[in-house]
Parts: sequence; structure tokens; C-alpha cells
Amino acid sequence: RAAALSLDAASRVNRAHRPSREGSAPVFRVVPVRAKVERRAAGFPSANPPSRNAADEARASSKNMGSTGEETQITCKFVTRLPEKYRISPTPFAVPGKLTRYGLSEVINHLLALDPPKPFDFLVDGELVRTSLEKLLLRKGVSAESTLEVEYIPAVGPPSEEATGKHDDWVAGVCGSWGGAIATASYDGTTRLYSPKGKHLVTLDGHAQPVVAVTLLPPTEDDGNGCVVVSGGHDCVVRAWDVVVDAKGDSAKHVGSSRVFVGHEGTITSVAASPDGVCFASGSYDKTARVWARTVGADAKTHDDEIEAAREARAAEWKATAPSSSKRRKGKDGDGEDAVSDVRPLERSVFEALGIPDPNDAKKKPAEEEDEEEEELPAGVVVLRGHTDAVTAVAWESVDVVWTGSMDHSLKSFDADAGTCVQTYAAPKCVMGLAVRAGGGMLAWCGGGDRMVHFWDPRVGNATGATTSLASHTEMVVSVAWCPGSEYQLASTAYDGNVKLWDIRGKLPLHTVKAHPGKPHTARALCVDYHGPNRVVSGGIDGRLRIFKVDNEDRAS
Amino acid sequence: AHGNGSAFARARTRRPAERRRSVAMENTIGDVPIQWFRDEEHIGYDADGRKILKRARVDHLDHLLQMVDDPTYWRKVFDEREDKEISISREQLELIRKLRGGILPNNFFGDEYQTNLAEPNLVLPQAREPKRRFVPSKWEAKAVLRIIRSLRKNPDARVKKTQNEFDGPKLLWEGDEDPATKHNGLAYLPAPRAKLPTHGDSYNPPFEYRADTQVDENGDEIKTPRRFYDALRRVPSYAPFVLERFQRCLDLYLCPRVSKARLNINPKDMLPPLPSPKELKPYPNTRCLRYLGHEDKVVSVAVDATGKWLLSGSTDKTMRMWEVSSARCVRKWSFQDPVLNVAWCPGNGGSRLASACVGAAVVLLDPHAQPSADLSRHANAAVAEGVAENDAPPPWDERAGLVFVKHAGVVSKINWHHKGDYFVSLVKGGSNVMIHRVSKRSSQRIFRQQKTPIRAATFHPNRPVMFICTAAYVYLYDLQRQCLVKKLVAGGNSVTCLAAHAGGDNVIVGGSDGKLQWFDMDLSNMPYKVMASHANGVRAVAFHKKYPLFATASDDATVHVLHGAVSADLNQNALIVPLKILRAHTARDVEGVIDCVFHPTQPWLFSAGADKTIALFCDDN
Repeated sequence: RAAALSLDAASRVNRAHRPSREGSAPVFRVVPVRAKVERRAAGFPSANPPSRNAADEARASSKNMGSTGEETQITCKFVTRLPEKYRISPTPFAVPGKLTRYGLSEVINHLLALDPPKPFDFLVDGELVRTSLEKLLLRKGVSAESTLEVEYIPAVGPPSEEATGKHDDWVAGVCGSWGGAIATASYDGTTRLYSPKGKHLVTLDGHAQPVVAVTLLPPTEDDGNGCVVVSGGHDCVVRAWDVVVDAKGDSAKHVGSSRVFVGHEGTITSVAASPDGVCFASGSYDKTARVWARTVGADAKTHDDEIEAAREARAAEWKATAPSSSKRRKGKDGDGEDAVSDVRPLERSVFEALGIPDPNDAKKKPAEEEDEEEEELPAGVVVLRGHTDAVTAVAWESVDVVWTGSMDHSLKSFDADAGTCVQTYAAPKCVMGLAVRAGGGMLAWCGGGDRMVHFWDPRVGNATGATTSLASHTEMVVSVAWCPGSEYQLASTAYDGNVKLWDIRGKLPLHTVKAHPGKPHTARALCVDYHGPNRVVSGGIDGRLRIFKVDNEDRAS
Repeated sequence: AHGNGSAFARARTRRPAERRRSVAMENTIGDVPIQWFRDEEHIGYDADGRKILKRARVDHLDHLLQMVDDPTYWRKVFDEREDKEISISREQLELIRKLRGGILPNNFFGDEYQTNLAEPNLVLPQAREPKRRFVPSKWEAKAVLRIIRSLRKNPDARVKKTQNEFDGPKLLWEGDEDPATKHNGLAYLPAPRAKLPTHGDSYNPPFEYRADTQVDENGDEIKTPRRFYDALRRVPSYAPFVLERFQRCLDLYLCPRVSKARLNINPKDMLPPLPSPKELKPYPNTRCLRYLGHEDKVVSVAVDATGKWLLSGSTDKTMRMWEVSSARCVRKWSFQDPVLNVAWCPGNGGSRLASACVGAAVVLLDPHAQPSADLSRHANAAVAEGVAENDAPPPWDERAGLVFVKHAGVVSKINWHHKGDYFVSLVKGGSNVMIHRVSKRSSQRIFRQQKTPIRAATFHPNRPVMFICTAAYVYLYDLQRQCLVKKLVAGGNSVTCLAAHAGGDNVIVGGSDGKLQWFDMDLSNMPYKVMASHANGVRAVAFHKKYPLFATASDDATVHVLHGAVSADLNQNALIVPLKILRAHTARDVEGVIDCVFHPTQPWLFSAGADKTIALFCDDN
């Protein structure tokens, strides 16, 4: 220990025996670094210390140079849950009160004699240290005389861009819940798979309209390295593809027949796979959410063929009934005949589409008028009813609890088997994005067009309204995702094009990444997800999928 | 001491006046001027005719010495007439001081006089002297003019009058002796003369009148104890009498007795107590999204009933459909004419059928179907095929999946009935209203002859009544009975747009003069509130369906959001509170914000501007 405390260029540690409560316990006086240059010399990543903190410390250290007699000493006891390698003796140290996160990290590095240095984050009473210790004590109203217990955890490193995937259109949904691949949903109507390194694996085409939501069903026991890609969009159907990724992870192919899950009457807004991968939930603008078993989907090919046949039949009928107009078109425009006879859904009259009968033709009255009384649901489909407006977000808490967020300003939890509403939280605004912490507990949601990430703890209940919110984005927040395996970390993205990483124990974001840069209103991020704890993926209207690597060792304990 | 000396000097110069007033005089020279004796040794004569010799004069040096020696020297006055020095007492000095200061010398009235002056009700008038006091009287001038004119007309009049004065002496009492003969009619009866007071009635009668007994009319002696006073001011009624006189004088002077403070009210205190906008959250206050894509000014926006899709019409001859939450343009329809208005049909869930005003036709279309590539050609053909005659009902033409309802002129506005079967259309500058029925594919006009151009028309939200709005009036027309129900008078003759509250009893109307008028039909046919908050004309007004909000869009490039709570209680008037001025557009060619519409379920507002953009405003914290 004495060797570890020897003087070096970065910091000066005075060994001073003071009459302390512990009697013989030595108390070390740690004087922080003087200048930024010296800190760099200590080997810390330059992007790591927030510039504000650096400025604070520079000010603090310059003050120290002037009058060292005025500085407050705070007795700290450093504890950690990290492995033995990173533990220091539980004896209290006296450190200058002007120390911030960076200074404390330096102290720990010095005491551990780590090379290369490792950045640490510090917790006091479950709150991240973001100011100097002095200010923290002042705010908490704790006497500077008492021993402060400071827990240190490894700091989350700054995200660095690892790879980019390019799409033809906006990337509206992204999912990284399966380790093998990252799925994206795009407004060009395709769903794509990317390897974690950013290599394009496969493009899945099938949706007639933009796809906005995608999820990956993790492989069950019988299909080893294959997964199911489930996506939904503006065409009101959910489609699923079985995809097998080869062992090397640089190519994938679609196997078997794709399936289609028909039932929603409104645009699909969100899909989410259950933790065990057996079923998935989808939310829609028809005010319901549905839980589908992965096996209940109809064969997509027959479904598409039926639609195609109906369309062709309609076109033929239209051609037969409207010969005069087609003649005129031909006269005006040479290739008009071919262009119009091209099979298009539009050839059906708008009234026919709406079921408004033609008053002149009584025979054509549709026979089925009140056919949609009670829909016969196949086994394995559960309809979650209860919301009075569109369901915009679904998320699983456990294998049998689904949370839904809706435009009717509420969050509801449903029993996934019975389809009954269990709990309701009346949110102050409409919900547009929702994430549930794995294992339950905290809900993070965003919406209402505001710039905050909101939290609600269902265990606390509705009465106390114990919500907190984090504000740092400059435009409306659209998507949130919890870090898998972490109780505290989450990522959020907003229409300002930024992805922000948060630790809910602090009010400031850990890191901000300009994920989709550009002019305002032309560079917006639309979705964010974690791919494992060390990767954050996001998609935006620049048609890019961005994959960021995050140095995240919080779960080392 | 110096001041006293000068007072003394002045006192000396006044000696003759004082001397005249002195009562006991030894010198008997009478009123002979004293200057006559200036060079004599005597100063006059006594009663026996002997000379009264002058005393030895003291020179200036002696005066100086006396001034030094005698501390009371400054009070001594030399009386030349009496030829002696008089020492003035302190009382006399006080008297002199008061006289010179213009104060009443004796304290005649006790202290009341002073205290009365100090009383607050005798404050002198605060008001400024009116101007008429300084201006020559108009009526006097007229009277003088009249005299002058009469003199000019008849110059002899004055001569005659002056001659009359020299007619000779007249009896003062002439005509008094027989009043009955003098006046025709009723005889003048003079009042009986009051008995003159005698010595005995005096407050201080001579000794011989001071009897305790008096003789009454019957000759009996009445013993009346009396008190006598040596001065009038000691009579008990003297003090109130003086006071009363004083008050009467003030009356004559028109002096105000009670001081009246001028009314001093802060103008802000006169405003009604309004709740703070913070208490009225949520309301749209921050711009969240912009919908970019149109190439010319956006003139109309409409949100479907689910709040997912937004339709916009523009003068760039396209109609676009946007996804509200992501500002993505999902579909685009190109026509040959500007799209002046767009609307969703509220039936079938409110998002299945869209309608647009394109040139001289109303187009009904399925917004979720892919538009055909040669749409604009179809539209052109449909419109060109047969322009509807003025009287004939417009034909419904179905082609390429679209339905065209043709009109006689450029269709400027359509509004749907809440059930989704009927819609009303207005031709630009036209003076007629067409009602169309989708299920029957029929159209009809509701007026036979109507001269005034109609600016806006909309259905009543829950009764078979239609609001028809001209520049000066809003008519409520009963569609079942086909008669006029009510006529609301909008001032200004400049109404451009109208919106009806969901309850149906309140209507807001915007005018090109920038004024917003709120009509409460339960109250009156005159506006309940008029708000002139916009600098330029109001282009669109909108009510929220769920929240008590309404908004006005104006050519000054602002949208004003107001709280408008209509109470179910008939005794309570609508509460209108201005909440927020939203500025997100820039004005182009004197046009600012052209249309605004609320989201059907959220407290959000869409505004369409002449700067080619649509903005979404949300309720941020």
C-alpha cells in the first residue's frame, strides 16, 4: 500500500496521521491533479471526463494552488461490489471536498495502481456523483464531519460508432434483442437483418406498405441458430419470417414459408416478442393489442395469392363495366391502355371500398352487412381490450405480463393468457414509446410530444404518482430502451437526432451521441434499442442504421 | 434687535395717525397742523390759553446713549403732538403686529373661528377655476349687441331717456299711497309692519329699562328674569350666529364643504379575474414537428378521426397525406388545379374516405389506396367533360376509383355532416350552398335565390340545422322545416370563417379585420365577446372536440390558442381565456397562417402556413 501511495506526476498523496476515530487507521490526504495535461498523462480517455467537470476541477485546483488552507476535507469510505481485483481497504480517506467524479476516479486508480487507468463512477446514497463532493453534501444536508460512504462502479464508456447500415428509406423500427442479428423495419416496406458488425444479411420483403415495427423472436430449443423476424406496419398485418443465420454470422437466409397474422383493423404501431420467444404482442390503431402465438400465422403465400386474385377479379370487372372511359384514354394517350389496365387496387370505386351501395343498382347490395359481430378467434390469439384510443406501444414484463401504452393517456398491464387488464396507470400525456425493465419494476415511457423520458414504478402504484422524468433532449422523445441486464441504464432517442444513454440514478445523461446528424427536421432519429449490453443501435430518417459500441462493465459484479 | 429697530422706525413715521386716535389728550391745539409750531418754542396752548413749552430736544448722541443704556428703548416712541415719549406695552406691540399682518387685532370670536378654518369640511375647492370665469360672457355680449342694434336702429331712444331724467323732481313715494289703484287685479297687501324694538329689547339697555317685569297686552305684569350683557359678543346666541353667517357666506361663494377625492382606479383592476394559463393546461404551446414537402402555400389541413393521418391541400396542385407522429408524407395526389380544401368523411371510423376541393369539382377518394399514376389526367378529364350548369344538380362522375362531383365554379370549401352521409360545398364567390348526399349520389342547392355571397357554411353538430355565414350575418337555417331559425349579427362586414362548438350553442366567427367574435346563442344574437387580437385578418378558426380549446389562425403569421369553456349551467357564461400565441410560420405575400385544425383526441394543433409548411404544436411542459 505504501508503494501505491508514492508520489507521482499525477497526484500528490500526503500521508498524515491524524487523531481519527479509528485510532490507528491511517488517513491519507489526496490532493487532486493540477492541470488537464497531467490528467491526460494519467492515461484517461480524453472523451471520458465531461468538459464541465474538467472545467470545475481546473477551477478548483487553481484555487487550491492559491490557498490550500481553505480546502474542505471530506472523509470518505470507498466500497464496491466489484471483484477482489478492484477492491481497496475499507479504511476512510480524507479527500478534498472539491473533488468531482473525475478526481475520485483518479484517487481510486491511484490507490489500485491500475495501468491502464479505468474510469469509475461514484454513488452516494444511490445517486451518481455529478457535482463536487462539497456541493453534494450541502445539497443533501449532511455534515462534512461524518464519514461518507461512496460506492464506486465502473463508468460507462463513451459510445463509438461501429458500423452503419444503409436503407432506401426511413428506418422506423429496430430490434437487437437476439444476439445473432439486428433487425430493422423501414418505410420502404422491407425488413432487414444485419450482423452486429453491420453487415447486411437478408432483406425480407412482403409488406405492401411501410413497416414501422419489428421484433425478433429468440430461438426456441428446436431451432438453434435461427430466429423469427416479426414485423408490422401500415398495412395492418403482422408478418413473420423464419431466418437462419449461418455459424460465421455473415450471411443469413430465409427458410420455410413466411406467415401472416391477420386480425388488426388499424395500422400496427408496435410489436414485441415475449421473453421466452413463444409468442409476441402487437399494438394497433384499432385500440387493441393482440398476443399471437408464433404458430398461429396463416401461410403468407396463400394469403397474398387470395388478395391478388381478388384484385384481379375486380380489375376485370371494372374493365368490363367501363369500356367507354378506357377508349377515351386510349385516344388521348398512346400507351394509356396498358397503363390503366395495369392491375391496381384503385379500380374499385371508393364507395364500393366503403360498402356504400349504389342507389341505382339494388341488386349489387352486399349480402353481408352485419357479419363482424363476434370474430371467431383461433386458439393462440388473445385480444387485449381496454384502451379507448390507439395502442402505440407494447412491452413484455415477464412471460405472462404485457404492458401497453396508448394515446388515451394510459399504461395498462394485461395478463397475456387471459387477456384481462391487471393494472392501469393514468399517464399525464399520450404514450408513444414504452420500455419495461427486464424482470419488472420500472417502466420508462415517452410521448405527448414532449422532450422528456418519464418513469413509473408499478410497484409503488398509482396513488403516489411517483414518476420522475429526465430532460435533456431538445425535441420530442420517440423511443426508449432498457439496457439488458442492467437495472439502471437505458437509452433514449428523439427527433433531435441524438441518442442519449442514461443512468436513472443521475439526472444528467451519461453520454449523448449525435447519431443522425443533419439539419433540424431533416435528421431525426426514430428508434433505439440495445443489442446486448455493449451495443446501442438506432435508426433515423436518414435511412441509416447506426450501431454504437458502448464500453459497459456495470454488470461485472 | 435689528428687525425690532426697523419696526420701531416705521412706527415713528405713523405717529400722526396714532395720535389722531388717542383718546385722552393734554394738548388742546386741536387740529392745527403741527408743522406750524415747528419753529416755535411752544407746542400749543392749554385750556387756559397759556403756552405749553416744548421740552428740551435730545440729539442723536443722546439717542444713541439711551439705546445702549435703556433695554426698553426700542419700545419708546416720541409723540410730537403731546411732546413726550410714550412707552409701548407688549400688548400694544402685539396689536401693531397683528394690524400690520392683516390679522384681526382682537380675539373677538374666541377660538372657534380658528378651529373652524382648520376643519376638513371647509377645505377650499380643489377643482380648477373653470374656464368660463376667464371668458367674457356670451350672453352679456349678446345683450350689449342687442342694445347697440336697437340704438343704431333708433338713435333717439337714448336722447329721450336722458331727457326724461330732467323732467323734474319726483316724489319718492309716488304710487305707494294706493296700491290697489296702481296694480290691476289683486290688491297688493303689504305685510304688517313689525314692531320696532325698543330700548327694553336691547341686550344692554339703559338702567331705567332694566326691569324684571314687563306689561303684556292685557295690562298684566309678567315677571321675566332677564340677563343683560355688556357687549354683543357675550350674548349666548352670538357665537352660533357668526358661525351661521360664515356658513352662509361660504354658500354664497359656492364653496364645497366636503372634500371629494378624485376617482383613482388602476385600469388593471377593472379587468375580470381570469385564471392563469398554467391552470388551464394542457394546451398546445410548443412546435414539435414540421411537415415539409409542399412546394407552394398550404391552404387546408384535416386530421382523421383516429388522429393518425393528416391531409393537406396546397396551391401546388397536390394533396398529401402525412403520418402525424412521424411527419412522413405517405401519399401524394397530383391534380391539375389547386387543392383549396380537404376534409375527412366522419363516417366509417373517420379515416376511410377523404374529400378534396380540386378546381370545379369535389373529389372523393380512398386515401389508403395507392393513387393511380395518371390521376391528374383523370381529374382533368372529369372536370373538362361537362361543367355543371348553374341550375342543374351537379353530376357525380366515378372514374379511376375516384368520384368527382362537379360544380359551376371553383369549389372553395366543403364540410361534412357528423354522420358522414351529407356534405355541404361552397363555390368560390358564389351565393349558394350545395348539399350532397353520398349514399344517394345526389346533390341539391338549398336556396332558390340568394344574392349575398356566402363565406362559410357548416352543419350544426347535433341538430338538423346549418350555419350559413355571409360577410355580416350568420344564419341558422333549419334543413328539415326549410326555414330561417336565427340570424346572428356580426359587426364589421368582414366575416371569413366560422366554427361551431360541439355543444352547438356557441359559434366563433373570424373576420378579415382581425377580429374574433364569439356568439352565445342562448344570450343574444349579438356577439358575446369580440376579441381584436390579430394584426391581420383571421383565416381560420377551430374548436377542439374534447378539450375546452379553440384557436384562430391569422395572416399575421400567428395562431392564437384560447381556452373556451362552455358550462352546462345556463346561468354561467362561457369562460374565455387567451392562452398562447404560437409563432412558427413566416408570412409570404400578406398571407401568414391559412388554416388550423385541432387533433381529435390530443391537445395538439396543426397549422398550415403560406411558407409551404405545416406545423404541429404539442403541450410541452
